[in-house]
Amino acid sequence: MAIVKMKKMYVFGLKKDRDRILDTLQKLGAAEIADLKEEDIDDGEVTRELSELESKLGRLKMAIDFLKPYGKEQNPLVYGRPKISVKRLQELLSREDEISEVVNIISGFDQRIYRLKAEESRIKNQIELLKPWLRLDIPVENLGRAGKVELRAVAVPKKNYKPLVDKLQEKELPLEIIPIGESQDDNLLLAIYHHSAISDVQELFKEFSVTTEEFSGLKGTPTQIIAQFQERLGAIETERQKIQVEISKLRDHLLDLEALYDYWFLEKQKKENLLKMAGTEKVFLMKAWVPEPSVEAVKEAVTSAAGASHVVFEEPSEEDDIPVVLSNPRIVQPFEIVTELYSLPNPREIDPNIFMAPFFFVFFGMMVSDAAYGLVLSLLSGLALWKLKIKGAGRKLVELLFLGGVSTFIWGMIFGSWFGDLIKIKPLWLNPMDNPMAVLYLSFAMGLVQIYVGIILSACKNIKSGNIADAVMDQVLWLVFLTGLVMMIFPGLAGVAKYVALSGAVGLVLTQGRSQKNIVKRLISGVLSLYNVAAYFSDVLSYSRLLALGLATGVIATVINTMARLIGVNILGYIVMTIVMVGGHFFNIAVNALGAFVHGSRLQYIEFFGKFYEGGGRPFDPLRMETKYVDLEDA
Amino acid sequence: MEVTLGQVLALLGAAMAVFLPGVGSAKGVGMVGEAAAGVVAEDPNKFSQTLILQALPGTQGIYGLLTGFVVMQKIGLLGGNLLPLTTYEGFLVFAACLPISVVGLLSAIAQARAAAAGVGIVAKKPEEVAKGITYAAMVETYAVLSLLASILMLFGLRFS
Amino acid sequence: MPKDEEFLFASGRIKVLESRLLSRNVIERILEAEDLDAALRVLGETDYATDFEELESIYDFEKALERSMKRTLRIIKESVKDHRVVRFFTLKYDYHNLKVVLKSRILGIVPEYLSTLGEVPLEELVKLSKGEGDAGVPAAMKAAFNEAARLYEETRDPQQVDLILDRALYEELNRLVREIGHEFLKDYLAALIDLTNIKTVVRLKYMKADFRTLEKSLLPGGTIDAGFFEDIFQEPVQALIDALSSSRYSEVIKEGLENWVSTGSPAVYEKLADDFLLGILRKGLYKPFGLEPVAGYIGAKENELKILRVLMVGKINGISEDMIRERLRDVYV
Repeated sequence: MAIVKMKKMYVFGLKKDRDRILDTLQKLGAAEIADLKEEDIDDGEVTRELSELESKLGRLKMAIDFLKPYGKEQNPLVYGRPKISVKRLQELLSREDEISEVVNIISGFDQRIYRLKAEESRIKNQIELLKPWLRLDIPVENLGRAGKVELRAVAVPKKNYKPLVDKLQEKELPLEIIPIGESQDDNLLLAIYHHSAISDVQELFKEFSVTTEEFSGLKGTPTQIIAQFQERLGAIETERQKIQVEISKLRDHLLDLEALYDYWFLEKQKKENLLKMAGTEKVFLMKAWVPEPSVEAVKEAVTSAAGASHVVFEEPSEEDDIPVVLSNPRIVQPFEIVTELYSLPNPREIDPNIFMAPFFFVFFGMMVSDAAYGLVLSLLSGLALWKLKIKGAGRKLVELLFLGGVSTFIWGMIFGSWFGDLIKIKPLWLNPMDNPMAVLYLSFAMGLVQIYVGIILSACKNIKSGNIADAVMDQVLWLVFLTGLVMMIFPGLAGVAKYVALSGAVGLVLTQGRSQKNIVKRLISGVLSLYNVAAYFSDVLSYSRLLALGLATGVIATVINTMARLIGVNILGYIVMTIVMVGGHFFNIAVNALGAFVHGSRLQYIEFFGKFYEGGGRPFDPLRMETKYVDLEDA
Repeated sequence: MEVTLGQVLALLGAAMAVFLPGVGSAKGVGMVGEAAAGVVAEDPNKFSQTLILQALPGTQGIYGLLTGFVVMQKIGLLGGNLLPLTTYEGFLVFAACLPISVVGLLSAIAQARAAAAGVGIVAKKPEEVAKGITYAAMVETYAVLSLLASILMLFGLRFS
Repeated sequence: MPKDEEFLFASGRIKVLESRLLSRNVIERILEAEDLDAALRVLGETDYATDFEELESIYDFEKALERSMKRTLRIIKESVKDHRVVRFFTLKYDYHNLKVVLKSRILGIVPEYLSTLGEVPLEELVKLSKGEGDAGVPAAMKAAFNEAARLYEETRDPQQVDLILDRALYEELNRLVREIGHEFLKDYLAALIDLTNIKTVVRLKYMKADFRTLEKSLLPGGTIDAGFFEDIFQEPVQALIDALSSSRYSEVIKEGLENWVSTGSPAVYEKLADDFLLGILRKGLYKPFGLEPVAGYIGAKENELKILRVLMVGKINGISEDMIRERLRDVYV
């Protein structure tokens, strides 16, 4: 009973009870409301409410994100999420206008900070432009025409400066230039000339690409202007800090905002489900998926929430898109993550977890295969499970690592590896470095077992769907043939093995081409099908990674120890040695645990699942109290 | 100490087993790192997921080091008394180093391409990271197999 | 040809950015928005939020779009080693500016509506227009500018400016693409030129333009050569549709040109042509890393701006949803 049976529920009731029913279902978290409508029928009111909710949520989200860096929330990983009671929530809802005002204030701050930033960068740019002019001690508003004299701040490209000066001396214009400074590309000058010479000067300026600086909108000497700017920058900074102080005063509201966000978020989810229902003015029809064990509870809840409703349960039909919930023994649950990462089983097949779990457990340990590493892994993940509040898939993963550590510990004892060769304890069986071939054979044997299980499961699937003939021809014959081939390895069985293999092969040749009409083609397809033996062969060889990765762990651990020992010659050396050992072994654990997880999963996905598993299931997603920031409590 | 050609060949093999897959892994990890940095530049939350992908092509370098180490142990370099290998024995060791050296180098780079593509998955659908990892791990199979071949060859050699 | 590995970092960034491109869904929501305010609220949830916030008046929305594009180009410029890929897309802005500057000189006005997306500094362009010899403008652009100016002096026809500079732009694009040597850009540019040429032929037919104008207007570098267009120029549009019915543009041409013939408006053809080009760019979406995702993304962003432009103009002028929808381009993601 690994995939929980689902029932189809229909609720027929009065429209005024709709909200109440959804409320109870959400609290119960055991029903997934299915879409009854073929297409979106526009339920104007609900759509409008939804879009209002969305904009409300958007504003709250903005305020929360803005306030978050100022808040001093306890890390939810360590302390769990904050809990909000219904009473507190009601109190919050009664003050909603007030809280909405807080959101307005925050959004005002957000804009002010943004404007300050824009102003700051504008001022900084202007300061950069003014800097080269620092030595100009005339207020810039005095530049321009003064009586008969023109006073201009000009910039001339550096390469044109010398020619310009030469030309001036030669031409004897009533023009005086005073060097002020230089910017990156230009020489900066103050040009003083008589008004009568203006056209000559302009001609000259054009020739040497001289540009006039206007300093429009500014007043005072450049030094004064920059000083004013600096002052303004200081003021901006002060204002920003002031805003920050103001904001941090608001940080106590963070929790309120989060609670409110979650409340409206749940409301939104309920409202979205309204759109899935069919109905008329007065009544509605709702379809939902309920796992069989929860049927009674759901029925009870719905009828007590709205007595006038009518509830019917039905078996799902062939075409239904049934959501999937898994129910496995506690010890197998952590392994579900491996399957979930691949694909959930579809509702009409076998849940592979219980068959896959023992293999994954054994393989993981074998690939890390160091007793001390196993202890470290289990201790660390155990500690994390105990101390941290991890939820969902993360929790399953840590639990899996804990179990993997146990397996690693066992294999470490079997192979006699404790931090590589650091602690010498006699192996229960043998050290793979002394006799790798034995471990290689063991790896193949385990692979073979898993492949057999895979073929058998495939046969079960055929039998379950009524194709007993297929099960015999496609799976049993292969089992016979493969068994015969395996038996040939053992000299004592070679005599019998020949006949077993032969009978399997003959059976396959006769049956594998059965989709072909023509008898010759049928036999040819049959013979060709024997080629599949290569696929099984390569599947088995793939399990050699169990040995290879196990060896890798051991050898690297030994390398670390050897390196560390080389250093340990005096006190300082011993300190470094310890660091190398601790760091090195941690690195080795991390790399190999990752490797064991990845390769362990791969063996399941390709070699095992490939034989029988389809996947493609859709996870059961009931309407429930799924919140983002806080836990809402009923009491 | 008299140095024999056999010893030189054996050490060349060990050196090759370390540096070729090492070069491959360095390039591979670098490639995935570049792609990962691109993702993280836009979305810093993706760091841990991309880090796992980046680590994947790094194993070939470890396998190479491991093989080199087995050679060193085998020829007595670590114990301090180098065995007087004959030229043929040296060639044997050298030959044993070939699988992981060549496959390690090339598979690291091939794996890096798959992992860099996996980084693209993380960018768009972080919940599907396991699939990206699995694709990259498929490539690693061949590095593991060649490591196994190299190590089994080395374990099988017996020098007096 | 640049190797895929050169674009690893940029591709990583782009894979994230791709997911922030406006989805069909968001476009629909803007389209269905009751008024401009509602449309802006939807945009406020997207990557364009900051760009639009800074606007003083919504009629300046073009500025916000330009700012967004500028940011995109900056991100990509700092992420790729080979700048030429970006140049392929920014060149048109420089030529646009060149046109504006030259026409302003002809009209004796101060240049307006200059694009800040080009890479040649605007002051240098102004210098060029003032006839200063040392303006920091690339030689090819300078030559094109002078040629256009000279031709204008001869003919006094401002249209010549457009023709000369368009041709120069595409000649430079062709050169750039040859230099980069990447099939993806070659393919894209060739399709762009072909589709533009087809449009030119039909447009000129309707304008009853002469043969010489056609010769001057056809852009070089497409897969369909100028001779074909010159031959078909005298025939009815249907002949063009038939002649190209087995080309890869057949669908664009059939639906687009037939619509053009019946309604007299090239809007549908333009939309289909853009969608076709986007289809080419979309290869970048499926390639994990390389030049394709980079070029594809820039193209997709340009396409997105086109969509927004249609939407904003539509919303500001209160044009009906259906009318806008007809002109809306496909989206990249």
